[in-house]
Amino acid sequence: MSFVAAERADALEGAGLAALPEPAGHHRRHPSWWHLLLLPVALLMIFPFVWLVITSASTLAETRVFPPALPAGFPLTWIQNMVHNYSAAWTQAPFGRWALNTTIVTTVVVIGNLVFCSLAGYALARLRFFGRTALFLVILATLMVPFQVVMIPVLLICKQLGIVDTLTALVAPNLVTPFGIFLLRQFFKTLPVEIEEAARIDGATRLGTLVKVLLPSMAAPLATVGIMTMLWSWNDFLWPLIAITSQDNMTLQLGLSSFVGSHTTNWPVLMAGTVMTQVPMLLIFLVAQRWFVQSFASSGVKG
Amino acid sequence: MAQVILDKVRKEFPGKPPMVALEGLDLTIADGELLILVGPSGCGKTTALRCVAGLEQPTSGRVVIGEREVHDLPSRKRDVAMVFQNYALYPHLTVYGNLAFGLKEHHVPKADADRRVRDMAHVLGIEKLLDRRPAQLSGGQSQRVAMGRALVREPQVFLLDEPLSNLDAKLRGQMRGEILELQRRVGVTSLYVTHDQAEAMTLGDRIAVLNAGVLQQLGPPEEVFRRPRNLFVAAFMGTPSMNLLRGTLQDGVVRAGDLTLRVAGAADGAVIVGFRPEALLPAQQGAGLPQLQMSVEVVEELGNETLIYGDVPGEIATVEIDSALPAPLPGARARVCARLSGFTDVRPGETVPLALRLDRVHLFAAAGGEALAGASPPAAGPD
Repeated sequence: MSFVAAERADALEGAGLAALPEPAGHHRRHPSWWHLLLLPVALLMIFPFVWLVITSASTLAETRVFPPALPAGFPLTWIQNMVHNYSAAWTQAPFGRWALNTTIVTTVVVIGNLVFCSLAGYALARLRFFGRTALFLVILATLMVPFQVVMIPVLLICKQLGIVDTLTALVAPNLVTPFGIFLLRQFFKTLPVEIEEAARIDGATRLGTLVKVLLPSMAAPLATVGIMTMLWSWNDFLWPLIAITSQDNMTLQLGLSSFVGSHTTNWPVLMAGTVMTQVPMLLIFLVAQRWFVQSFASSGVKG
Repeated sequence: MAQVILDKVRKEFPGKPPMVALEGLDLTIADGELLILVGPSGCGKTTALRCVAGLEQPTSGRVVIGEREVHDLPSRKRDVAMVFQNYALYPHLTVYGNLAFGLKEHHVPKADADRRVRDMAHVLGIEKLLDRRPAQLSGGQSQRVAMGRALVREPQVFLLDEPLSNLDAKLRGQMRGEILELQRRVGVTSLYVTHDQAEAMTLGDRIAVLNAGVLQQLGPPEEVFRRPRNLFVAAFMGTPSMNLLRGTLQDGVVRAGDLTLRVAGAADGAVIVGFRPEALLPAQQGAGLPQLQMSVEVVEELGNETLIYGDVPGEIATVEIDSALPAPLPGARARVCARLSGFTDVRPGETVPLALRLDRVHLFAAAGGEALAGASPPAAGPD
């Protein structure tokens, strides 16, 4: 079969088929009275972080002054204090190792969630099988069970599997989450089924359709799941506290707690360590700010 | 290219009781033919199309494309292409990406795929749109891209599921012509589903009329329109619908209201006399023809023609065409419609004499609704 070219491009334009205008770009927002309210609220929100940085630039003595005051000698002494505190945090504990552990755990958990939640969400949204609705309801129900209720059984399972005190224990139970499944299933439901059928007729397998057509159309929900999982996994403290005992396998959040002594705490060093754990998340937030805001807005989950 | 055979295709959807969408459908689409599947909503036409596409599995029966039985094969192995009602373009891909998707999936060499995509874009006049995404296209443009995506693969069978129903009336007329032209040029075996009779009449080599999963009539558009095999086809094809009057046939004479017609070769019994609105003429143009007195109730002047609706003596019969449509308003009555050319000075409330063209009269058995053999056209027989 071959096609003969027809010169109809110009006719198209004349037939009411002319292109739609390009979508408008982002508009700069004008100042609003709301900003008078939002600005102080924003300052209030950022204050703890600022105080965190200031404390990491203090000496131990300065953190014990009451009422609290800014450390003396801005900026030179501050910088000297920071160099001292940050290097102390880095050298007093295997901080690099913890950062590596946290990065590994977070990366694997995020990838695991994106892969497994997509597959499960797709199956629950599109495949017809016995007990589909019941299974979905059971998964939904687990959303209502607090982690504190299941953490001991999960620990016992991990113990039987022989993975306690390994990074596998931090990764395996979190590779797929009911929240991710629920969110992606709902988005799969909103995609027209004809798009999938078109891909199947065009020659794609089911998995090919999922990977090449459906998932690329779901950037926003996938970003939501990825970002939420990343934040949660990076900041998780309770599960590592239970599952990890050796210092080499600790994550950053757990490692930070070792700076807190039973009788005394070196606050400037602890705060320096805390700043270092937060910097990666902060950088990611700055780069992907739009996605973060959309994620929380679309998922209805507060941060 | 290939012929397509649906052999006793039955499709049931699970439920209590199961919903039978197709009831032993037998249909053969010749190589290169454009066959229109037409019928009201829920008649099974889209299910039949989806059975050919492989998106539905027939409960029983065979689907054959060319020499291959395909009813057990997945869609991707059937070598068919489909245009969906809502176009179903891939939203994350450009127009180029949409056109090239199927070629990539079939491992067509990149240079060859690129040439075919650009050739197709040229044929459809969408070269300037290749870098656009579907969200940036108008309805007509999306329609062309969907057609291009289907045809660029050079499939054996081209399936179209109400492809024009999302377009406005004017564009629909234009695109109808283009689809026909493209199909003729490419010569691909095509199955086109629509509920729009205008599309069915103008596009198809043959029309298959379906109702409740059962094939009612299959034939060229003119034959289906002029010689409907039963009451359903008669009432479904044509807008406004065919006028139907209840009557009786005895000793070769049909009496329906004021009408008396003579027919040959039909058994006595209750009958329904059918005539399309255009079979009625102003009385002065139909001297010698049977006449009907119409009490005019509504006059619709459309410019090139005028539709007048009203009552005539006798009992008007109705056929339920689409069970999905809402029931008529309480007190609403069936009326007879006449299509007169140009403007007319007939006004509501008047009684006008109309002549009935005997060569356009159909006769159906009241029981079962089958067209009565030898009864169309009936011979004139004024008493």
